[in-house]
Amino acid sequence: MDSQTDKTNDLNFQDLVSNYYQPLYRFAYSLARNAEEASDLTQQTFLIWAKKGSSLKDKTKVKSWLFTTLYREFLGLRRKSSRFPHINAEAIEHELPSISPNVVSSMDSKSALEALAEIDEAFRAPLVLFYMKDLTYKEIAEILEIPIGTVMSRLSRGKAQLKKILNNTHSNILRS
Amino acid sequence: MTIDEAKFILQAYRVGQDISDSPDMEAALMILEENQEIQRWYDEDQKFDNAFALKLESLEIPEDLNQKICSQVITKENNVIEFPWWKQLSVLGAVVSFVLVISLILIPTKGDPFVETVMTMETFQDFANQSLKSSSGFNVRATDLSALVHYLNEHGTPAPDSLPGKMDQMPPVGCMTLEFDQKPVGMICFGKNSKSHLFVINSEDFPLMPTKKTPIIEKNSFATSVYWSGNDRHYLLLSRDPKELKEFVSF
Repeated sequence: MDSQTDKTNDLNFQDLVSNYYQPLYRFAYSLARNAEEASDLTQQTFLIWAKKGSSLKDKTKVKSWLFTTLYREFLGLRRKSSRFPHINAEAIEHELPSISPNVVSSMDSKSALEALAEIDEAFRAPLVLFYMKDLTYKEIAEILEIPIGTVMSRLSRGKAQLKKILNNTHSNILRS
Repeated sequence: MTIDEAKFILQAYRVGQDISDSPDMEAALMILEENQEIQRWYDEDQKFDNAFALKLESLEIPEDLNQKICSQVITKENNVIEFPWWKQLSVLGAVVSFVLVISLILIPTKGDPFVETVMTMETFQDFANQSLKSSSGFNVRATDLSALVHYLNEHGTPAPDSLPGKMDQMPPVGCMTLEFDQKPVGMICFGKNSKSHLFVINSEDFPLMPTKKTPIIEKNSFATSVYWSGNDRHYLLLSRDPKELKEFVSF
């Protein structure tokens, strides 16, 4: 009775936290737009893993599972607080502003995140996951529970919005 | 496809990604291969992406976040995760079931129906506690285990076909036929003081339930729960008598 072993579970919890807490926090921050809520979401995600993670049979899906869980938690919180903005994702026009990479390089991290926060929520989540680079379209689609085609469409539209926002910010700085 | 349309679509392109499901992206990539203007634009766009990704990466992470997360749960040897007592569902469950058993004695009443629709290890525990709470009594009382198993089998309800250790020497008290999402769940109560309850489900009825050949044991000062699998069945033993459990059950 004393041996509390689960040999089928080869994932060490602390290693799992070390591997994923930073990208999860960044994703949470981009969604919640404040550090406190981002920390809570990240902690909650790992707490849920500790409770339910053993039911995940395919351990290669851990990363997607964690991001999906965090996203669901975020959506749940938003619904509860009735602040979830209504957006019509399909109504965005195909605008293509151009912006120099140097503008982005000269910005600080805070300004970049502020620009990201102005993007419609439906576009923000796929865009942040896209910029995390090690996630495939398929994984992003699984995390957000949308088709891959929708992921690509939202990425294009999200990037167009981001560039427009950065352009406006840059123009305002130059004017002042 | 115009050049502007191709650029718009290509914003979402990342080298190495599978785009076989996107004919638009494939068409845009063909234009990219042939058109130098788009190639120059695409190179700049990649630099923009890299610069923005770096900004995101430089977001400051709270220094103590890792520690905070890990302190939520206490990890033991062999990767077993144990929650601090205030976060243990089994503790809450045991407290709830203790209060409910008391209330059952004092004010016999039927509880609310169980509303979860997906059985997981967690909901199995909740279901077990709720079933004890809302129980109106055994279907059959007997001190002979084979009689109880026979009754459950006759009623299409899963029953244990083997028990760990000396558990078959534990005095049985009675059994109940239960349902979770219209699937049968068997329960046999054991122990001199009726403090141990064994719940049994068929694996095929609950395909999402993890198969655990090695028992998962959660202990706290109120109760012990043990979950294991065998012979196409999953078992959950809830006991509020650790002494009796230690005497009769070994894995």
